[in-house]
Amino acid sequence: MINQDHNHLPPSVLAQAANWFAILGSGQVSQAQTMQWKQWLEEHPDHRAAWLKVEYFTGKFQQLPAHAASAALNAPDMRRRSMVKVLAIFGMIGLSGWKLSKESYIQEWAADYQTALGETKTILLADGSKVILDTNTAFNVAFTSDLRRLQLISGEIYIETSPDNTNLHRPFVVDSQEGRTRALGTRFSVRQLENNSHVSVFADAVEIEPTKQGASKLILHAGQSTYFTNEKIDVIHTINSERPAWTQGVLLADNLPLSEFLLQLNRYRYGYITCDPKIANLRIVGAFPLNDIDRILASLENTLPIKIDQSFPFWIKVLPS
Amino acid sequence: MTTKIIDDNVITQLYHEHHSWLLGWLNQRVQCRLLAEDHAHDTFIRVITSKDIHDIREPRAYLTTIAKGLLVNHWRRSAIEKAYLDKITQYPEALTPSPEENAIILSTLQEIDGLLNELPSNVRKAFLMSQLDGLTYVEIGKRLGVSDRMVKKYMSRAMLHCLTAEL
Repeated sequence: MINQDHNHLPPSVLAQAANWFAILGSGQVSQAQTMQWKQWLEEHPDHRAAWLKVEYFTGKFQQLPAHAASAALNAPDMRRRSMVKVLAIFGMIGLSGWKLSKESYIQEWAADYQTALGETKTILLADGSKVILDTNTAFNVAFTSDLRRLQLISGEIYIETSPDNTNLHRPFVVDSQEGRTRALGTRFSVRQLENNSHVSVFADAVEIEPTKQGASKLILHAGQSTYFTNEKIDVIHTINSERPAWTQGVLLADNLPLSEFLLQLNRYRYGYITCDPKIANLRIVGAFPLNDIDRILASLENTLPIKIDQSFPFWIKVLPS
Repeated sequence: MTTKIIDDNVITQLYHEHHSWLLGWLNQRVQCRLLAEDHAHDTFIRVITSKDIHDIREPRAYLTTIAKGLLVNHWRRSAIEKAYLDKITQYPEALTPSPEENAIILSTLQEIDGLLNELPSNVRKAFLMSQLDGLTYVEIGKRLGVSDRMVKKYMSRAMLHCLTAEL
């Protein structure tokens, strides 16, 4: 931190230093100005001290990865935005056809239904369909006279559709960033990932249609799951469960590498969990109740040759013991 | 130095009468019991250490005002962390900071954000564009719709704000 001695600097000197900072940063500095600045620096020890303070702050910025730091500091700020403004922006996004941006923070915040980290929630829709939200999930409901549409913004939803109770027989679809999943039956789940979507079918079937025109569609049947991008659908995997394990509050690990297990766990917890590469391949088997993550970590520490380091509250390090 | 004497009874009474209510209030907003408990705890710490503890007339309004401030800060911190981590994962592997570096960078980002938060939006933006994106005053002026002379004023103001901030 800053040397205590610099804190008594007169405000007028600090103002001069700030002014010199603004002049020198313009990129159009004349030689005369540079000379004047040097003179100013030499004039009084306080001037030099004030300039050190300026350099302390500019130095802070130089240590940052510019692009990511810029994104972080320009993240939408609820302190500066009124609710009305948030809703106005959201309304615009709605009209332009759910164009999803990477900065979906505002959308998550203003979504119709959402869960916090570590939370799951069950919701009954107007048509009688049931939706269960996994951790950190947000979606909107847009039912019209000819379509029952959910828009998944983030996370994962599990759906049990019910026959349309308005006798309109409207199709039921879930739109994720990469495309549309159309229910051809009753029970399925859709998860929005970083650059793709994941669909699992537990009863009957669904039809997947990636956003890009001309991309081929696919019908996925019960007991199958797959990933898809906006261009194409990945290979089909087999699943053996009746429902996703998380809908029963359980994280299921079937011979999962520790690193992958921790990634899964991280979805239910604030902060950041990292895994030392030396232990990343330890295998985990079991069903872990998601309502107490700290207990899961403690039990891993007891049964595996690892230790959990929590020096920072938002950052858990899993290390070899 | 004077030692502040706090009437234990005032705190005990405040805690007994309002803690579970506050917890419920927070729980509705954060939808996470652990987090709600943390914030309730922090709220009471703020109350205990505040000097107006004897003058509280509307305890629940007072508690929620403090709790709201804490929540907003919490959301802001999460937003910054999320935006940063989202971006950093797109960096080529060779340029990705280690988790240790990330932790330090995040804490610097929170510090800078706290520092610049009170500045008007344009001043803050101009300062960030110059320091992080390396834009010239002319380019910044174009983006903000102001003259480069104005940008220079913004820069001076932002730096003076940093220099005079309590650290």
